[in-house]
Amino acid sequence: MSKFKINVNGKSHKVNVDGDMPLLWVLRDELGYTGTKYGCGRGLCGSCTVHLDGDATRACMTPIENADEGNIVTIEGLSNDNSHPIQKAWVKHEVSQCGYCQPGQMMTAAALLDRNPSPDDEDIDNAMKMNLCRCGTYDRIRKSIHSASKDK
Amino acid sequence: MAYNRRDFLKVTSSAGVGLIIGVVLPYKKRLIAAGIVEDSFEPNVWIKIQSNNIINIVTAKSEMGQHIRTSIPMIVAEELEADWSHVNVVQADSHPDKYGSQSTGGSGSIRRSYMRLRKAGATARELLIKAASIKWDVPAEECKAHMSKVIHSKSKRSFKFGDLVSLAGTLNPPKEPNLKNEKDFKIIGNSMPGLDTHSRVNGSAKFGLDIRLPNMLYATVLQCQTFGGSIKSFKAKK
Repeated sequence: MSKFKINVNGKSHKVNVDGDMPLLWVLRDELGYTGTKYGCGRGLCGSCTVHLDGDATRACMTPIENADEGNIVTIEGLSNDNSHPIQKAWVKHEVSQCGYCQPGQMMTAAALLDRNPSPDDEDIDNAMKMNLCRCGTYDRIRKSIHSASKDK
Repeated sequence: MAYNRRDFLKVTSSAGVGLIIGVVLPYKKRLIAAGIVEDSFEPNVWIKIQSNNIINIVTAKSEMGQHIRTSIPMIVAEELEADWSHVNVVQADSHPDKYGSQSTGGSGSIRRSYMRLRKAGATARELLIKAASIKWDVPAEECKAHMSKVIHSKSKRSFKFGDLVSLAGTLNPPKEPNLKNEKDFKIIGNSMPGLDTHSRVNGSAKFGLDIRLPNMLYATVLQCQTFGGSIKSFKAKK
């Protein structure tokens, strides 16, 4: 067990866990940020995506020791009133079906818009292709990213 | 027992709390098989209208991305003449004795409960109209419900549903409520904002994985590393 310090959604947290514990477990089980979802545990589906120092990161494959002193943003931290352009677009286009993968989709999309405010279809597909949705909401995700891009 | 009627409407009210209307429907085979009562229930519906105008509609079916938590309230809200922005969905506990079969599948939830959900909404609407007509001392026929209000056009008066809950809870429900004409539908057949949409974009929507209970234990499947292998011995240890 070792001590780690991370900042989640602007709030500082100290945790005392094994260094190889995935960041996802720290977020969900140690700190109670359950908005981020466990999907495959192998970095294949993208449902656990959070921002680590601004980059879309697979929390299930990131040992906490690699996130020490890091700034993390989870789905709960996009805004406190659903006002982030990505959240507004997801509501407007009713993207979610079951909704399980959407926190990861939205965090990937938000990171995309941070570095490319006006992505075209190809940019979107390249950025989003590693986030899987078994409901098949891809078309609405793409529409929403375009509409969030205009809103930003 | 109260369960021995084929269809019965039970109205209870708690002063100041709200109007709760439950439609308990026949689901004979299940309860007979379970040996509980002679008669039985189909999935039932609960409406709870609060004095602050919030309309809680219970769904006893499971959400799997098919948006049953929106479509069931839509049916009830249509007949109730509810303002959709007042509607709140409440997930039923697992309680088949109370709700009948809660299994969800085969695209059957709407099909099997459609008319009963409509009757539940219509019953509530008629009771609210009756309550308003008593308060105004006018014939109920002169009143109509619209957007969570009961309106008396002749005198240009209206009550919000929330203002009527105490009185409506004391009235006898109609034996057979009048259903709306389908051509007057405003909610059914239209695309309504999903009731879970907002919770799904900020991480607050709760999935099975997110449930935390006191002293909860975790279990996982341990698979045999040899194909076709079977258990030789098992020692449970803490």
